[in-house]
Amino acid sequence: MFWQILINGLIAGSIYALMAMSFSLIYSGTKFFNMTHGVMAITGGYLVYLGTKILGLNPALSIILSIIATGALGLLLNLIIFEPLKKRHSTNVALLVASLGAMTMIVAFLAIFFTNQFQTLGNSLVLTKIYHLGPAVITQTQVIIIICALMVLIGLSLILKFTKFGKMTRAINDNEEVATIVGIDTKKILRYIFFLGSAIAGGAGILMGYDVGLEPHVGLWLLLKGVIAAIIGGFGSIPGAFIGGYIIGLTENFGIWKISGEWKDAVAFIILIIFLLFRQRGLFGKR
Amino acid sequence: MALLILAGGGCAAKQSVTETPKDTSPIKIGWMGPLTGDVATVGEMTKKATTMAVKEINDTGGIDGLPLEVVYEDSACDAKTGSNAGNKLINVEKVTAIVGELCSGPLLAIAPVAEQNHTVLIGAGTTAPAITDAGDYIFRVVPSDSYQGKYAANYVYNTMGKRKAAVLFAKADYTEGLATVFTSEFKKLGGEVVLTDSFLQTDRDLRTQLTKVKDSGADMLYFPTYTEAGVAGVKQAQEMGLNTQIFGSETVDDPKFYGAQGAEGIVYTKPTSYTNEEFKTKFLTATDQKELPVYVTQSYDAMKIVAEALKQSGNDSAKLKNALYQIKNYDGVSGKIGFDQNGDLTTANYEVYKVVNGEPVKQ
Repeated sequence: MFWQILINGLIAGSIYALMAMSFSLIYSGTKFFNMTHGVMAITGGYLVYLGTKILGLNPALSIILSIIATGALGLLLNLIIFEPLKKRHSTNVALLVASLGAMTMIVAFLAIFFTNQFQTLGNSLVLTKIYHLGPAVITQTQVIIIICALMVLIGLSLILKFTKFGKMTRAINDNEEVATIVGIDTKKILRYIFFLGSAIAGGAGILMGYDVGLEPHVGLWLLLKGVIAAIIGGFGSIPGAFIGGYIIGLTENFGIWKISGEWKDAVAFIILIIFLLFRQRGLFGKR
Repeated sequence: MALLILAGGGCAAKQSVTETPKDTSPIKIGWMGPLTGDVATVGEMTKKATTMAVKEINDTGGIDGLPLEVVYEDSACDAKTGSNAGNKLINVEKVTAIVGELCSGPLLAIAPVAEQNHTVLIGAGTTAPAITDAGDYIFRVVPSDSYQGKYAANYVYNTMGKRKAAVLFAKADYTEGLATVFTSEFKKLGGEVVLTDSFLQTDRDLRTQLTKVKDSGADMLYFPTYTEAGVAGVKQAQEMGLNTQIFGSETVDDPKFYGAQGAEGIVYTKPTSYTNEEFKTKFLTATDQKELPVYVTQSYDAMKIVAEALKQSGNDSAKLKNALYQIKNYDGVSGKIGFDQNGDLTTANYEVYKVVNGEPVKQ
């Protein structure tokens, strides 16, 4: 049973890690709490639903288009809402409230177009491949989820460390004003960051859609889990967010081994409170 | 000439003093039910059954000539949304009665307000045991789950021969009620409850709870849940190779649930609905369905019973309540309906179904 719970924790942790890494990426650059991030994930999932179940497109094509579209949506929100507000020197609270409004609107759109009902991606008549790891079981979709999380970790880390774009991003994370002074086009870089972060979130939503399913209002829950993981890992650190995701995923599932399952979400929040009390900067965050 | 006018005027005046104009405004009834979220597929159908009943009532003269007007509100099978919906019906629309709720959570949430405002509340699918004591104005045309849980436990122990039960339930009035009654009855019969676990109504990842079930050595799993989590749960159960017999409640009687991946083989209880062929044909042709969804007959009966009682009492909520308590043997399409002193049904009958090839088959 230990092994199955471990696998359950890794699966959940991977989704949280993807949300945390993408949230951390955007937050480090923009320094405001973007509440639309969770709903980006759900939108990504629903676009694949639109592509495969309504338009009848090839799944692989739907997935690729949906990831790009979700990235574009994140970029669009940045262009029409967040950038104009920042130009007027709005406070971070104002940006948060604006993002909350955008989130509510998108959730409503999704509920209107796709109903509030729980939907799954993929063909429910075709059983996903199941692998047996000793006494434990994992499906092919779940293996893909874990691999994707790893790939995003490696990808983002390489980009941030070795590319010019990555260096500029890190400069902006350190201090946006100084970055502008040394000649970095911060606006343009932040746009790329919004696109990239939202696209990753969209991917997470698609994976979750194939594994468990989608509902319009699950976006907020995903966002919260991602944020908790990012805080525990430490803002500004992608590996930190990655590990934070797994800490939450594993402690949640092991946490309810001996106590009632209704406390699963509560476990994550308890861990968050402990970290906020004793190590506010998280595991790998900058002081 | 002047005398004639005076006489005419006198007659006219006399007429307006003795004859008050008849109030021809329609009688307002509220309907609240799950049109979104959990159980929405069923909610849409029960709404249609209600509309059908109202049309029939109005086409045959309404309540002594007064038509019924129904205001529909969505309660989303959620206590908070239901509370808002009910408050709107009671305080804004000022309805005489509210019928139709399928989910116990929203009904229990609005019951105190209905009681205080003397608005009659008739549940069509609200089975939680707690509703028995919810108030004088609270009725239901479905039996309390204190019977369904017992019936399930007896069926599982005696007919299916299971001895070690795992109980996994959603944290909600309805599902928790079932779990509690099942557990105590199963133990009373001599069975062992090897695991009790729960999840939130909004949870969709039940894998670790199911892992615990797999490890518990149970020979059956009692799984009272609402549709959405249930659909996720049975898929995950199948993926992790959980072969334990799953036993559910009437929420399985929803095409979204019994047609889902992993639902094959589930056995469940459902309140009996005597097949009134005439109603069945009428409803299936009107809605293009293959089977009568659960609580459709009860919803139809709830509206018809309110109409019958209104004919006795007139458009007065307190008198309507008293008239309802007088009903002991109403011939409804869901069976004979009679209310006891708590507004509960006096009889409780259940049937057992099994999901075979994606369709419910009576056992």
